[in-house]
Amino acid sequence: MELEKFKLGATNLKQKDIEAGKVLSIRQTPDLEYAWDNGVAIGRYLKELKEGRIIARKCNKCGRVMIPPRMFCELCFRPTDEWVYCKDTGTVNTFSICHINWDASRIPEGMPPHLPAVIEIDGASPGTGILHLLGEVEPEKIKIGMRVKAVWKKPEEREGSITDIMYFKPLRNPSKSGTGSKRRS
Amino acid sequence: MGLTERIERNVDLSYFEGRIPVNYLYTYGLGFEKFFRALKEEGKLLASKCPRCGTTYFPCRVFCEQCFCEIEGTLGVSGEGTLYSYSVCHLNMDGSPKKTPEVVGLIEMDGTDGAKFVHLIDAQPEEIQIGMRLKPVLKPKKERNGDIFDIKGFKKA
Amino acid sequence: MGQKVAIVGAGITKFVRRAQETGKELAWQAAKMALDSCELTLDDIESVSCGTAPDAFDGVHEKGEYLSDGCGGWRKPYMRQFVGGGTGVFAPIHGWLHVASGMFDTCLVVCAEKMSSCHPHPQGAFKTIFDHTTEQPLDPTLVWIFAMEYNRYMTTYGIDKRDIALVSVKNKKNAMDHPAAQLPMEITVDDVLNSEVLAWPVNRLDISPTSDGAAAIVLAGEHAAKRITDKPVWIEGVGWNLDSAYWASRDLAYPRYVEKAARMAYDMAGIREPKKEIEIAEPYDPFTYKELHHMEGLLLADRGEAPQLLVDGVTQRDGARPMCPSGGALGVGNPIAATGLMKTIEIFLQLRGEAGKRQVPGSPRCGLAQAWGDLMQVGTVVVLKR
Repeated sequence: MELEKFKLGATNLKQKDIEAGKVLSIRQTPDLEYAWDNGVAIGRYLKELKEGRIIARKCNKCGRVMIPPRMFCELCFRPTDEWVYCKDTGTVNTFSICHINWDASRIPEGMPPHLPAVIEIDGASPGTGILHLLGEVEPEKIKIGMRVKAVWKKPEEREGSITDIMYFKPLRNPSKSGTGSKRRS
Repeated sequence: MGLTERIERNVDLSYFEGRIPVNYLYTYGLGFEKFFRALKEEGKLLASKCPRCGTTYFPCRVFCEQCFCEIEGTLGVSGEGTLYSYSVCHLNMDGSPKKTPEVVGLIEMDGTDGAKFVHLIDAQPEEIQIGMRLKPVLKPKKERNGDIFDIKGFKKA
Repeated sequence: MGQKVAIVGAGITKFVRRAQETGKELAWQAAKMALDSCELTLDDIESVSCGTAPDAFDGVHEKGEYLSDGCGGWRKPYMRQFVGGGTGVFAPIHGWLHVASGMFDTCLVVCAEKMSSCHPHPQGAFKTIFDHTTEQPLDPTLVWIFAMEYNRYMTTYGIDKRDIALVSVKNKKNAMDHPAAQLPMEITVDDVLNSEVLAWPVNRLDISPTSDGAAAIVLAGEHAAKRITDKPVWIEGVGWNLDSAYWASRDLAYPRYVEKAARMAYDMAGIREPKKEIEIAEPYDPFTYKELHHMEGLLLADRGEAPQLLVDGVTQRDGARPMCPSGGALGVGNPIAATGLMKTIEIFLQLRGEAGKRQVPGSPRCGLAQAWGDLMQVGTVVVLKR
């Protein structure tokens, strides 16, 4: 068989064909809202974020300090053992300079791009990163391996969300790194 | 060794709210395009019959789900039928009570091999009976949009 | 193993941005063509496997059931499988499980996707792939992950973006010869680099389009296959594997999950030296860098070395190791589940010498198709031989 010898299906339309009613169509909007339970580990994670602290969870078998925290170790397949506070500093593992929004619409001209990054948090096991944003930095100056520090919302504005950290900014003086929260639980 | 820490107080239970922020625009497809065009423009109801195995579908389709044949033509039907089953609905989608109960029925369409069609039945709950004869009530042509409510519902024939 | 399994027929629709057909009509068009191609009817089919990606694309829940009539699943043992973007190559694996087990002699495998229904853009449906509590509040787009993986890959090995852009040039050109192609084009590296920046380092021409489309194959057990065709293409190896669900803690420069899937498939197929024995491949290329990233995971190139093979012309259709001779997701289009099956079909046709203008020289005997997906963590691989 050769594909060229068959009449292939699928009728291509333009968006304007649909809008002009050349073919019939119907619009539907699902009317659903979700309340996702945080569970124990993420519940605590968010509660600590509200207090301006980043908490991880440690597995005493493989020794990993995991962030976001989880109540079971997916490698050892056993419960994790203890809560461990991390610093609010870290290292950029990778990043992007993003000119589109979540719905693929373009960020308007003149507005700053989004600066998503994977940040390896100090105090968690090497390679253990979280998704967050960068700020107070020229996009072209961002480098993989750059040292960064969390910029928190004011305590009264925090609500127990990952967005209680507004973004991570470059550490001006890397030698002074590690001045993150040292308060204990 | 418990997998999770015990939660002693309900205030520790927290959740995060969100939604899936999309909507959908569906084209009707080849089969339903024929059906709803004919309904909208000519007030006709179209079924289709498989040229190979003879199975009849309502609304019309472009392929036979039993033998996988292409079905090119259509077959006009009266739209009349027999009530196969029904339910009387008292609640809206969100769980609130309806002002007047609504009857939804499965209608076995005349001129087909028992193809069943779901629609509203315009009748008092107490006069409804499985097996009753029904006919469709169409909107006047100028109000028809090419959607399922071009048929307002079915009433006693 | 119960029995050997062959691909004996194939079907595909055009891949288009917006199809008038419903998902089930697209599925039927591809499935019917697959049956016609090997002169079978639905009566000859003992089991049916359907592959289709997230329900949120269509807003149709229980999408497997919705598509079942178009897939030929009526009154048959029918099952839907889904591993995100890996679905299209998991499809032949899923069908293989049906037949190799000895339970069935034939299986019709159908993949269909309709992404155009989702508004304002199918990217919106992808938002819910991210963790709802720790990631979605940051308003992520899926392109973020790709862009960051691209960046990490490029930086780790010191790769030039110009070399990665060449994947788009090659695949879109290959697609000029594919009758189902959505985005066949003759472009230059500069066209790619100068196209709109979506999420640096990803430009518009680095990314595959959203598409509607369907593809299907017919699988048969050893004896049935020989009755149906004198050119069966055998599924000699299958492999699939998953990496950590915590994507931000993964090695983004190297797809370990693809390597694990590939090793599983190679072991089964008795392949010891993939670089020599795999003569032709369709690695999954929804983004330019992904073809290269995946070639390395498939052990078809050393780590960080795939770009050089591309620059040297090794992966062109007339090169020593052709990659994506179909035109891939970048050129033919990317109706998620159908893409991987399109890739499988391309290898099927190439091994039979029936790829028309796309035919690679040298009558290859062994090839593979690969896909990738879920939260960028699943690898699916199928090795085919004639």
